[in-house]
Amino acid sequence: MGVFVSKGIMHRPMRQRLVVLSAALSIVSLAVTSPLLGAVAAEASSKVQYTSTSPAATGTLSSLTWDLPFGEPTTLDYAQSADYGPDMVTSNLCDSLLRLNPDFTISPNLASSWSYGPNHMSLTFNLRSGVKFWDGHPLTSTDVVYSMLRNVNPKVNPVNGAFYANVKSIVASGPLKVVVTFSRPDELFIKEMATISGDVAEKTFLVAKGATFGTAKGGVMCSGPFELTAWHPGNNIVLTANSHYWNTSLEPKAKKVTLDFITDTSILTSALKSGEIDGAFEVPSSTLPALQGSGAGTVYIGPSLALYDLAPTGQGPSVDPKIRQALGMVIDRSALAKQIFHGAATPNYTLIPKPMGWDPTALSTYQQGWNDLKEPLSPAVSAAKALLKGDPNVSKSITLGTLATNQNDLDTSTLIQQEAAQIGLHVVVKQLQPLQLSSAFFVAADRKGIDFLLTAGYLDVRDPLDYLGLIVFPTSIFNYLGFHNATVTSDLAKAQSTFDPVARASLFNQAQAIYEAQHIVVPLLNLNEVVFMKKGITGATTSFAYIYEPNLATVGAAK
Amino acid sequence: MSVVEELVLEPPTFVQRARRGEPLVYVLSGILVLIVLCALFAPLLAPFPPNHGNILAANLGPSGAHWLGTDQLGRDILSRLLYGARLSLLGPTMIIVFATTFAVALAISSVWIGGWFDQAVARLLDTLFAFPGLLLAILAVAMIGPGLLAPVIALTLAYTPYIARVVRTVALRERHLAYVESCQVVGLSGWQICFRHLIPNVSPIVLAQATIAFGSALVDLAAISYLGLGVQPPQAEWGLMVSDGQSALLNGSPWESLSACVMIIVVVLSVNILGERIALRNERAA
Repeated sequence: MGVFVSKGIMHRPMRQRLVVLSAALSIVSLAVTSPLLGAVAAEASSKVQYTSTSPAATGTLSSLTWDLPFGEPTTLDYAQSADYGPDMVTSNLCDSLLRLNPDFTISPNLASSWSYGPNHMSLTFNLRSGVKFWDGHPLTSTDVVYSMLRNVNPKVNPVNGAFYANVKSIVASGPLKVVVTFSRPDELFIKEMATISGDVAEKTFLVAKGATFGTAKGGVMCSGPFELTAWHPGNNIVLTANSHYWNTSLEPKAKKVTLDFITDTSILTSALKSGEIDGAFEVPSSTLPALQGSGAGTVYIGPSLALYDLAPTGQGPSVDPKIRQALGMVIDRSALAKQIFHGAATPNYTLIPKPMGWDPTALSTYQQGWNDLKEPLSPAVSAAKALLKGDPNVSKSITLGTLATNQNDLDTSTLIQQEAAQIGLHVVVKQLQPLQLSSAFFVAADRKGIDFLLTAGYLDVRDPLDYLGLIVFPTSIFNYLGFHNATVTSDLAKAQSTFDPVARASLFNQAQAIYEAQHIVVPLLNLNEVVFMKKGITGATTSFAYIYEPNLATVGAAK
Repeated sequence: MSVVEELVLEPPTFVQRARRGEPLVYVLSGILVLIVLCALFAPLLAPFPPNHGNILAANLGPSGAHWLGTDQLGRDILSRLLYGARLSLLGPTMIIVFATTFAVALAISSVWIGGWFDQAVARLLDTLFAFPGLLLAILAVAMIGPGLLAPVIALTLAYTPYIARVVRTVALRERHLAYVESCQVVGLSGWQICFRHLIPNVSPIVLAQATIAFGSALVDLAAISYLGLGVQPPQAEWGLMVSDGQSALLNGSPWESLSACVMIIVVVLSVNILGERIALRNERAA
């Protein structure tokens, strides 16, 4: 509010008018230029590239400014990271035992090789020699064992403990050898070692920092291509290239990286168009036409394992399966994908979407299971109304928590409101700030009063069991509904212990048929990865695999 | 005819007002009346319900069917603009009515009672001055929740001292004029003097301040809605429409943000100029 009396009654209105007139001129300018931008956008659609990688960088950069997906991370402790921002930053700081490649395949990283023991009851990792932490200390099996065990240490509040559920012990059997024994075989575990669940930090540093590890105050000590130089809360994170990085093929091309926390779609779009920000992952697709037409850089659209869902929180009407099913029946996913996501997404009707590169040898089995479930593509308003007839929860309002700053989410929420109203459901949108939303996923108190969360969750690896482990087991971290079905639990546990891909797919299909009937989430879309890099910048992975690889190490100058 | 005779004896003719530039006042008043009428009769004037949309017809430009085009969810922008006038004008109206009432009550009572009470009110106003309106509104939203109520309460608190300080200054001058003393001599009570004489005599200043403050309140409320803390979707409100239309604006469809901005600017400019003219007239009269 302005001060309109401090300098006399007459002066203030004059100033106000000047301000308002300036604003008017700005808007008129925008209005004049926007149609031009639109025209350019239409002509420049060829600037979108569908690929998992961008052209390799040939030159170095003295500094690189990148935007973090969904804002400031809540932590940089790998054991507490399960969100876009924390995962993306941590993957540049800490190496994992195995590496996730842009095509989602897995290759050696800190572990140069690995082998299973008899009946898959143990797994031995042979560690690479010559790897050093940033402080010069060599990496040993002691660091690896300590780092891995933090994922099951309740004092650490780990969020990825589900992937260690079948682990019986982790021991060092030599300076560069680690043996993991299982209580039952686990086919998923090795894949998770290519994600943040397989990250390694220095033991002495972890012990010294205790609960402050991964915070702005405590910092991080790892062996990755970038060192954490500074974390200015609310402002940015600064990384510096690790000039002694063991993997010469991933030696950072940028000497310094500044990670900004811009979450507002319009501000981010303007910053990318103006070149103030060099690039970003997870660019909101609502402004794709503007970025495509800007000529400021290139938009890359790549394959992703990210899913856009309405996640019931187990409160209010969300506990009613009919309400969840009816919502799923009226939402026009095709229109959502086309109009709001500008084609950078495809409709999805199941918790685990149609096979996205699951075990190729079992593809037809997975496909069959999915074919049995898939629903009609067009909204079924009458059928949804009939389903809800007499349901006492219809009269209760539904609170939908959504990210305040993301235009995709705001538009989607409003669309859901409109479509739910057609079947008599009253949806109230509650806008949450990025940190609020991130907390709501992990802290029950922060979900209070919210019935559904509009989420962009993701599979870490190409294995449906990865995602299900977080949602459908009674102890799953994201099982807000308290869903419990003994057959599902048993089938999925068996599947995780089954190394035969076809047998595993069959078990998965059996469980899927049961939990899908309960509509434990309202699936909306499979998202594509959207990456933008300004002119002269290239080298980033453009598939969703970026999230678990040292994604900024390869970013540098184009020819 | 002298100036005194013109002011006191005969009201100025239309031609005389026109020479002073007063047609602008009429035009602006007419615009405001028109906008208020549009808000009141939105259900009759709007071609579509405000929340009715066809997402497959999103971001259309102006046409015969949709005079101002459609937004990113395929809703008719004109209809939302007309319905949006309701909440956009209701919020600032509530703020100004409440803030003016509190401000006048505080200012007149402190001037009349004087002494420690006057000092206490002055300190209270100083304290309230220390809180920026927008910050107060964000705090209120955090406590009460998003919607119109929290910003209205917060901005009422924020605007009260601005109006109260001006009213107090004028009332203090009036308090020491001879006519107040005469009223006391003839035995009128304090209530009677305040309500029959003091308040009517400060009312032109109050009107000028309230009019100008209305524009500021409208901009503040629009800003709060723009930040997602005020009126919530899918309700139509101009600040919210500016925010909702941002992506479309960047993508080359400026109509939603542009039309909402124009409405905000027209109303704010109109009330500010009107407030300025009222204040000018008061100065001339004084």
